[in-house]
Amino acid sequence: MNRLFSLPIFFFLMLCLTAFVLFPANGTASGTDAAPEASSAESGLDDALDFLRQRATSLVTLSCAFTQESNIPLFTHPIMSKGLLLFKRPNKLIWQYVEPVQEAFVLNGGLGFRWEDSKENRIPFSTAKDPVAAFVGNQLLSWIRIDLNMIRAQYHVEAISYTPLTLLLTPLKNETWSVIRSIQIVFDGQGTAQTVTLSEARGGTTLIRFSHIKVNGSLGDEVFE
Amino acid sequence: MKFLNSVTAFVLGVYAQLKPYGKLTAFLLALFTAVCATSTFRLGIREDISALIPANPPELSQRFIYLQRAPFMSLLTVAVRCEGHSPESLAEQLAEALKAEDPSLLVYTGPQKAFSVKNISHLCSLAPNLLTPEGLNGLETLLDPGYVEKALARDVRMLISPEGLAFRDLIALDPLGICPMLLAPMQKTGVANGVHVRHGYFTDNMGRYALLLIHPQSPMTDSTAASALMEAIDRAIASLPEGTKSFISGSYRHSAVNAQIVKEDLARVLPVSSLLIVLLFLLFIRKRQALSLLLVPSAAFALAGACVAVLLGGLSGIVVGFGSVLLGITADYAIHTYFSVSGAHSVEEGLKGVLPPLAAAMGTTSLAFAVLLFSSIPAIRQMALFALVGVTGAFIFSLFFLPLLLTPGTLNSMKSPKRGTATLRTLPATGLAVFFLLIIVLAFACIRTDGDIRNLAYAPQELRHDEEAIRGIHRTNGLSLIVAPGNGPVTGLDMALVVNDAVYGILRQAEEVPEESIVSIAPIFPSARKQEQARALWREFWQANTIEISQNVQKTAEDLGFAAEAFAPFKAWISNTPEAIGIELLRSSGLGFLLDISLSQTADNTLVYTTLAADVDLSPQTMQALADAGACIISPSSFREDMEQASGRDILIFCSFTLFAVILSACIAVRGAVKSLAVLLPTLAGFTLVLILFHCTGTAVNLFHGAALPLVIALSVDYGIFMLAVLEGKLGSEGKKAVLFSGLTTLAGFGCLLLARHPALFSLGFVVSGGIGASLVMAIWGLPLLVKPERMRAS
Repeated sequence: MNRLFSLPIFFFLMLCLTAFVLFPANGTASGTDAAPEASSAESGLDDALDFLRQRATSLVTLSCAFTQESNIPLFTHPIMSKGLLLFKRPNKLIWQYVEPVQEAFVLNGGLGFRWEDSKENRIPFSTAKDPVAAFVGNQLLSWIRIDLNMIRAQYHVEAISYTPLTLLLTPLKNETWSVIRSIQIVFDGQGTAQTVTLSEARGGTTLIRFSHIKVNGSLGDEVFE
Repeated sequence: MKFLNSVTAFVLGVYAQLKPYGKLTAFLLALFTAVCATSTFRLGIREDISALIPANPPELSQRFIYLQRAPFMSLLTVAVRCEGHSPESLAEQLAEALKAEDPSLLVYTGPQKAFSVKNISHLCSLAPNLLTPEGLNGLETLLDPGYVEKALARDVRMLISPEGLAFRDLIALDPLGICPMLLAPMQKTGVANGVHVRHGYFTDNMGRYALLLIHPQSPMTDSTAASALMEAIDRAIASLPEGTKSFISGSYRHSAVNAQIVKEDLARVLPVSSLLIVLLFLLFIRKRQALSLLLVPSAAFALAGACVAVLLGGLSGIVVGFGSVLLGITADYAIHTYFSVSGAHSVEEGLKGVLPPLAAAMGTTSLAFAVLLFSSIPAIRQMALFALVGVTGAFIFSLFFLPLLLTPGTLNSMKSPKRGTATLRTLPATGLAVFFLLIIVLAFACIRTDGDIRNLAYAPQELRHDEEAIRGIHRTNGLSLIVAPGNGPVTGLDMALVVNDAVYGILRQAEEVPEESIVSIAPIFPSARKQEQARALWREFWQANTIEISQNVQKTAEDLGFAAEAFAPFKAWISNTPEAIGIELLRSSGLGFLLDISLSQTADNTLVYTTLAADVDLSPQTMQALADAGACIISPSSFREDMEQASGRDILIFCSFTLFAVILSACIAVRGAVKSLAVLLPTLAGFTLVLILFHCTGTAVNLFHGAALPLVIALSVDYGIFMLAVLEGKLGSEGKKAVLFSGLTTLAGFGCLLLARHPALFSLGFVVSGGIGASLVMAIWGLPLLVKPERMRAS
């Protein structure tokens, strides 16, 4: 019950992080197209999103590392964590923390598992019976495919800069707005997401940096089992 | 005799006064009919199944009232499925379409749509109201420093993860995970038996069908609103993708279907019976003045409808259908008056001849219907009042108004040379009567009754199919209800909650009751007393343990890097007494759905409902404990059994009383036991044939059969009375034709009910057609063989 209401926030983050990481300089089937330049505000944003969506259609596998800096008022100092993200089309996904805690969310089709501390402590789930897991998985996969209708229905998207491409997403729904004020994503020249900054309603911030991005590399199914 | 002479003199006196105003009287009678008919329809004709429930025993009636008020029972269930579309998307589409049709409709696609961060935190802050002695054991673990370390480490993990964004406030309020402990019983609160939740939407257990629960705002018994609702639902379903399968079940659908079929039956039966009666009139009476006879049944019908509607605040559609019967009955009086006056030398002579048998017939019929006024079944009382007023009205109109429009001497009627005497062939008559009585007694012993109220209503194949499909989707065989009542506008809610707490406790203790089969709001909405006890436990615990636990939390928090004031909300929470949980608070916390399916409130009382799967067999001990706690248990099977017993008892009692009343009134009317035997033979013949028909067709007697049996008794005695009058020479030779004509008009009225598809109307037609047909044969052809019109020998 507790997890249910937090889903929109969680998914939004997962999806942003995944979707906007998808466009590295190397290994993309669509080559090294640069991000479009802005001609006018609205058309520039449309072009940028369309560019990202096109990148997404060529994505088969993705792996990357991330570092996360959480500045939360509940703590006296920022909490640093590290992790990795793995994805394989059509519906396999891992979001894993490696420092300071070991835990992961693994999705493999309609089934999956969570684990804490050790992979042996896995708690399996079925998306047919676990609404949290189902929502996480479905939304994340939708974002990877860049469902612009879904994105724009739930968030106001603004390009605050095109060099580098910087998008500012503001929640449209009060429920999300009461927790997150905004998410800012900065891309490099090739459309690769470099950083994601979440600004909280209660004053905290979370900064995520991506690195070691590998697209369409070899990623076996056994990784997700 | 003196009384009869006085009445005759009065009738003749009124005739003399009104004689100059014949046509004006006819016009006024027609106007009166129109006014009465308009009043009846304006007051409203309704289809209310509660009219069929016996008021005795009172517990049965009360259980039915509880059943009617059960919110969950009044929900409409819609199941939809479409290949290539997820149940969630179908549910959302259908919900939007339904809202567009009727914004006031409450549509539930899932239980927890209103949950939000704010709601969860608010609910958590109130959770101490749900603390139980068992839950207190869980709080004791907070004293373990190891537990505190694990809890805060878990908080750190949560806060790092993206989910933690939403849980900041909750973790600050409850770092030790106390709320899940307190709210654990809530996790066991089912939504509805057979309904599962998937992705926040109601589905079947396989996740194939989306289930929507619709809570209409209008009462279930409002057939007009029910019909409008069903049409709106049909339009909304039509807007879903092509290939969508849908099933709908619920009481509103039954209301709408039955209202429609009653209207269709009335539209079919009334014109056909009216046409048949008109044709019979043309066949038997080929004179223009015979048209005036039609005024009497029309006026009587309209008067009866208006009186019942005014006195009882409305008229049941079933009783209106019965009106086709009354058309036949009331025409008899007009027919006999017509034949007597038209066959006499003067109107006065005709009236003198017809008045005694007419009065005798009216007296016996009225007495038989009067007995039914004491029935515990409201619909039968309505029918009795309807018939009484109609029969009395027909009697008055036939004697005081109809003669003004008739011309005497238009028929060549021959009278017997000796008037007023006849001899009964006692031995064969007595033998026949004994034979009939024997069959009646034997048949009654073997008779089966059907108390299933569902069989009194019309349920077309499509509706049964949908209900069967939804039962299969739910995988349940119905529900049992346990009702916790509380009286009084202000205190009723808490009184009901006190009983509900006891009910929940008893069911949880009962070994035969699986916990998952209980759907109750007791875990989340206990009574004020129980909440106060919970708050007292909470206060006591923290008064004893605040310092120790706070020190453990502080130390561990510092080690893990938490800020000094990170858990200030927690400290405030354990120090203060939370406010009590109430209805508004539960609604604002997103739990309105559970309230809506469990609570029924009126100005006078509150009912709290707990549901169990119907296949849970409660032990006698559990049932006794629930009754002792003040709860009322309603299970489908026991309700059916009790209905069967009550209706069977009612049928037996009122058939017996009616038979006795008819025998008594016949003896008084014809003055003599021997002559009364002749009068009663048609009644016995009709009753016997009906019982034989029940036996041969294997039909179980339902409430409407039971209502019709006294009708057969009351009507058939009239044929005996008039036929005896003909055989005695008190009525002319046309009298026999009048008896046949009146019998056929009555059959025309009852027989048309065989065209009805509604079980109630058909049952009436089945019984009365068979009974009246047999009694008519006995009257027209049997009695002349047994009664000789000659001087009566001294007994």
